[in-house]
Amino acid sequence: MVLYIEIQAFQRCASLFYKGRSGCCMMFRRSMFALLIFVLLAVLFIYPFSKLLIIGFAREGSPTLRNLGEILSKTTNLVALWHTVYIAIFVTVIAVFAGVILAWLVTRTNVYLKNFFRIVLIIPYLIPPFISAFAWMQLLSPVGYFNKILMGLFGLENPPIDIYGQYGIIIVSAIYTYPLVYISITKSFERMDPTFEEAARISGAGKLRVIRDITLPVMLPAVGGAAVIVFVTSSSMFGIPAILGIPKGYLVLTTKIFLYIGSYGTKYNFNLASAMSMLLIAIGVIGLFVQNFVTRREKFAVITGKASGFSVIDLGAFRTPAAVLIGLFVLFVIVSPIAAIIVTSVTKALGLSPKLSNFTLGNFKYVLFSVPVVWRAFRNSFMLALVVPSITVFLSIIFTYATRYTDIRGRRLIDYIVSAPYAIPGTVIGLSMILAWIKPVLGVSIYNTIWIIMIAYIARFMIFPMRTISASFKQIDTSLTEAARISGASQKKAVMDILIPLIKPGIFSGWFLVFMPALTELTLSILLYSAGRETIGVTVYNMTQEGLVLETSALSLILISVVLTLNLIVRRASGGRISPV
Amino acid sequence: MAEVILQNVTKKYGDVTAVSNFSIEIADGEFFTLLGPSGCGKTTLLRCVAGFIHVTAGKVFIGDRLVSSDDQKHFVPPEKRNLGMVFQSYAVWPHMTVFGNVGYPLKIKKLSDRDVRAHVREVLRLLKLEEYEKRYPHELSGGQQQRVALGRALIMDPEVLLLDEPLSNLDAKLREEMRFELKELQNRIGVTIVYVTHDQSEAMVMSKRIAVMNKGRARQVGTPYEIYNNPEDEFVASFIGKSNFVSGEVVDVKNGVCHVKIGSGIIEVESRQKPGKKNITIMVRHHNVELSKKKLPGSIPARVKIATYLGDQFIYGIAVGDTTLMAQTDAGRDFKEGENIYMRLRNPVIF
Repeated sequence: MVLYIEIQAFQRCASLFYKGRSGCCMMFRRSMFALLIFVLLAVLFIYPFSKLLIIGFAREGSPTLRNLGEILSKTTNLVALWHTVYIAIFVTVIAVFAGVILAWLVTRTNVYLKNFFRIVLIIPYLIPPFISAFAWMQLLSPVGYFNKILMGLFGLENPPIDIYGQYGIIIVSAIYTYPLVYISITKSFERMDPTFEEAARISGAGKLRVIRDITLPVMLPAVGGAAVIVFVTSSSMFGIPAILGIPKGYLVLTTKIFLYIGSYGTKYNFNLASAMSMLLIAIGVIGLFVQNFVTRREKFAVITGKASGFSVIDLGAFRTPAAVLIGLFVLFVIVSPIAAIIVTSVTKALGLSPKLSNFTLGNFKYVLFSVPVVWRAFRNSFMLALVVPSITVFLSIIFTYATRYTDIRGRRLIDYIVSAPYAIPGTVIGLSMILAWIKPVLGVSIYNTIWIIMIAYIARFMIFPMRTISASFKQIDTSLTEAARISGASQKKAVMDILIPLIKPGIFSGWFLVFMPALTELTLSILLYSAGRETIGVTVYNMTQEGLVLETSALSLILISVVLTLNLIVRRASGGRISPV
Repeated sequence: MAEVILQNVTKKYGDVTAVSNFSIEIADGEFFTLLGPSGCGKTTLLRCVAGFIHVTAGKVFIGDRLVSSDDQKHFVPPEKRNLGMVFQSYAVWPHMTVFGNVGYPLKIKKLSDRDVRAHVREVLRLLKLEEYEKRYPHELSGGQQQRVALGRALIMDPEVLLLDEPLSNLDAKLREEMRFELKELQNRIGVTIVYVTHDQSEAMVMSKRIAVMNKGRARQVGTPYEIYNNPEDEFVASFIGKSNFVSGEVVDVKNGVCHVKIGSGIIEVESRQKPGKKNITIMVRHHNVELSKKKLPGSIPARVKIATYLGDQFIYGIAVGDTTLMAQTDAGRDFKEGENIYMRLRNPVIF
């Protein structure tokens, strides 16, 4: 008995000693870790966004509301604000309408070819929006193929459709964004508890009645959430309104800010651009609140994870018409713009009719071998597309780990800070980066280098791996690492042996979710590039501005092929688990 | 009220047979349970009755109406079958209040608002839910949601009530209460109930008859008493109640009594039919293993391997040769671990 007490006392002393020593060491290491996280957040988010606020709400160092006042007193600015909202509303209505109907057809009915349509319908989201805008120019510009066909068919003197301006922007933006609705609603349909509908059938409701009384109301929160995402995405888009709006002088907030930044002669141009950004941020923040509200309502829509073979609705006589309808949609929305680009890219000279004798591969040869900027752009973009996802994934692991497994003060704020760019459009992030780095900071000058582009990409795309990785962290019970610790693994070893392997799927999909948009990014790069640091997006955009239609087509086709092939490979390799949204 | 008749019902998914040649006649007002492990086809069968699944072969009658057969023309869709159903997930619609959920079937029937209100109030009172009328499902507990689902199923006076594991999502205490409530409810309204569960004690407590299912087939149909005391095969015996299975060797049969060698001893087993083979399996319930310190008629020597105490009973692990049997005895007769004792089997069954 005495011996037992002695052993216990000894053990307690030993553990105290051990704790004391390692506690001191750990405390030092912990504060280093906290400092590292703070520095990262400061460089990526806190410093640039505070700079934006300061410049927007001050002149020559003294706070003022004059910038905002000046912005709001100019009619052209108010018109741009109105255009932004007006376009976003129409885009949202069209995208939600198309997305929900298509999602319903391919998940809940027995429409023909549904497995084929299911994947094909995502494609418009994979094609970079500025390329999509350029492709639609080939079809619907005054000399576009559709206009020529319509003029020929009806003997018209003038082209009947004009792609430039509001209608073009709305149509092309809706085509780019409907997959957002389509994908999220497809997932919700699949997750919806099938017994909700069966209970209504048993209660005496027919098939159509069930759709009206149960299916649609239960799906409503998901549809609302998707609608908000489309609205915010559409209001912060740059490529499409830049290509289809600027030539006609039809401006939205993003393009207006872009022009303000570029007008170096104007006094206070950065102050005004920053003030204007506040309007755009306001839209994003309101969207965030609405979405929070909508998804809170979703709580009462208990959508279970159990998707045990829900009933598929027999379309009966409408099976063929429905398939034909989707087929036409695919043909018009997906096939025709790509076909237009293919045809233009092999045409010898602009305006020649698409005949075999007028075809050539010269445009490809020219773009690939005679324009040095193209190779440079490919090299820069691929470098960014490989480095940025790796860094964001690495940082996401650190941030998520810090939030979940440490007691660093303010760790809950990390998530908010990293999520901020969701409400901040790319154009505004680009502007913040310019403001932050236009003068050397602590002797470091990265303006006009590739580094500023890289930092901007990281800030903008950080949220994707944060989401996927924190989602996979959530599925891991803390007892799993605790079990490793009990088994004798150090904290570091437990992380390497247990956590990392378990969050691997989140790492892979997070990486790819950044890789794709980074490869074809335009909005940030167009603001931050300098000679020699062009990205592919910048090169394509500049070529369209120079009117090099044939060459742009060739380059666009190469880019589309690369993007679609990579998506296909990743989809195959991951067994369909990694999808673009 | 109506009877439910299944004639040679078969359901195949491609090459997989979910239900195979299943026939049963469920009487009007009967509480009938389909019992079996997961994947045995019990839910598939229930969904055939509900009309969510088309049968591959066979016929389903509700009352005197043919509602399902391999011939598509006779298929009656679920909304026309006049059934009530409670789902395992309850399927209480999240966007409707308690009142909206329970009143929905009447709304479909286009009853006047006044009639709907009167009916719903009556059902809510029956289920003790009056105060929750205006609540949404996410404001209710699991038990309350379950009663809303039940109310929705009962409000249209269904001919048959289908219950798909309705208690499996409740906590243990509530589950036991609901067993009696359901049973009492059925006594009061006299509706035919087809009940699906994998929980044998649930089935025993509530059912008039049980069909024990495995791999798409009914292994035995009978009252709880018959199934417990005269299981027809090893599966039924192992699925219901706590049983020992001991292999032994028949050494002699005299006047309907088998002498079976287990370990080093020979026990006598009364057998209804003569075992056709030499090596047999004897099934005996845990509480039918009788232990004694002295040798009794028909008992064989054994040894106590493990003794555990549960308050109202003892559970022993008893070694006979190289097999171990579990024995359950009332408190008061205790044996020590390692003690050499005698054992005999009450009501053993030979397979």
